[in-house]
Amino acid sequence: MRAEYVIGEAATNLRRNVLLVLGAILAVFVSLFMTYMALVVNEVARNSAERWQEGISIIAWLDDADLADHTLITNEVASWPEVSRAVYVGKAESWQEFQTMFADNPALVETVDPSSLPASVRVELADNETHQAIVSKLVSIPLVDEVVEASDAVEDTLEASRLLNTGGIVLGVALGLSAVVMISNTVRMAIYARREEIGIMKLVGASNWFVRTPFLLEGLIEGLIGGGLAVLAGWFGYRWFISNLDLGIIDTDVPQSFLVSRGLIVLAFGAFAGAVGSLVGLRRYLQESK
Amino acid sequence: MREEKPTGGEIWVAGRNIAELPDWKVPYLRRSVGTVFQDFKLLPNKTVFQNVAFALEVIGRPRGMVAQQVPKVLKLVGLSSKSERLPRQLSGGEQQRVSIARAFVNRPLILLADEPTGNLDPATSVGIMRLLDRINRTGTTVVMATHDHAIVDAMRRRVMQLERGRIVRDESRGVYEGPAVTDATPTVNGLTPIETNGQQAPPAVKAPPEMEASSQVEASPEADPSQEVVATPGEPDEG
Repeated sequence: MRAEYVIGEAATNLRRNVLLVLGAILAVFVSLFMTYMALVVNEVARNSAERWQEGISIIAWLDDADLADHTLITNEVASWPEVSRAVYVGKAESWQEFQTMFADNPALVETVDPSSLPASVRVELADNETHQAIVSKLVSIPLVDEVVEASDAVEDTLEASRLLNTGGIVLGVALGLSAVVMISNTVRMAIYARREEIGIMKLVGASNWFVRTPFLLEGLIEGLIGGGLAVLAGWFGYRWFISNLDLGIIDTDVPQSFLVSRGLIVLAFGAFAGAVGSLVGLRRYLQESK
Repeated sequence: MREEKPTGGEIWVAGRNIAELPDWKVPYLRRSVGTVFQDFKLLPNKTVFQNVAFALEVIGRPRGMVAQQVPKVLKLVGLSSKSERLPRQLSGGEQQRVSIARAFVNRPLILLADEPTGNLDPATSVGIMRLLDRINRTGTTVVMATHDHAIVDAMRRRVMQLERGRIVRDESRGVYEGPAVTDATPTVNGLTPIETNGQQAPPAVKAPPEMEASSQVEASPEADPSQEVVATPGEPDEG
């Protein structure tokens, strides 16, 4: 009977202030949708930019003939004054990188022979003006097969996605705070609407949790509904996005498991926001109940 | 009960110092104390039955017990036939009976009644006092605060008088303005006599000084027929 009572009361509370409740759910939804999208965009960017992370702008693929010389070459490139960093990526690491990049395409991964992937030196420049000079210097090294440069397009897209990502998270957090405030407001309104009943419950000795749980549950439900809507919208929004927009170089495929795991996290955030919101709303009551 | 902590002194209820009671035990203390107010405090959107049942439901009593106890207590207060009415369809006296039924349905050790007849006409008040007397005879201590001379004089129970937060008189079969009233105090303003019928060891009440300017308390240690009130003529609260 207790569970029945608690759920019934929470449902009554939700029905009584439909507009406020919808507002709170919407706030949770928008906030978590932003966060979810930021997470997905981040993943897209990370996936497609695996090789171009952290300022690396030139990759020199090396011939396999003499593995012993690879270290020498890396050390030499690193010693050039124009180069701020030279990272050696061995054959085994290349294979790992390849597997990560095409994790969503196992058929492709199966067709590739691990030993066919070459080692490489990845170069970060201290000064971008020297770009051409370094490229020609690298090409002149006998063991270098091919030199690849990060295109401006890749750089621009990465920059954009980083901005989107930061912006999304900041907005998500700000909206998340407003969602918590909205939820605490609906809980407070519900408490106000039932102050007579609560007074009598306290009078006849209802335990504190018995009085509070329906309100806690109310906030929790609001948070969960908002979070659930955010995950659904994010999921279908993303599907629409990849089927309707072609970003060329950017590999927009994100593994399903990523979408699911982040979706669950987003849902948990919704529940968390709901619980925090109702606790804030209940706080005044908690103090009164001494 | 335990709405606020005393700024000084102690409050003992049934052998426990409630100022030292941990917060989580307060609800359990309240379960053993029924409360009745001048303004009834019924929930307007619940029927008589639901109002009384509410008191049991919210302390987690099983449904079977609710279904059994509520009709019993409604019969005790004489409202069996009106259990499906809403409070606004009842007279003031009937509403107060519902309120008493709600306070008593959990069989508390103590029933606190704060001016229960304050909003009622004298004839109706007599009916309420009869009901409280009947409850007293089941073993529940009834503590009642009142300004009503006629009631106190008719009941002739233990009377305690409070003046400026202090007990100035405690008589086992007192009247409203008994002989022990001290000479110094002005008697009219804010006089709040309290009447108690009890089986418990009489609780020592020490009110904080700011509580009330002056009042009276009435209490009888035994619900023994020899101390019973002479029933005052007059029909209970119809109307």
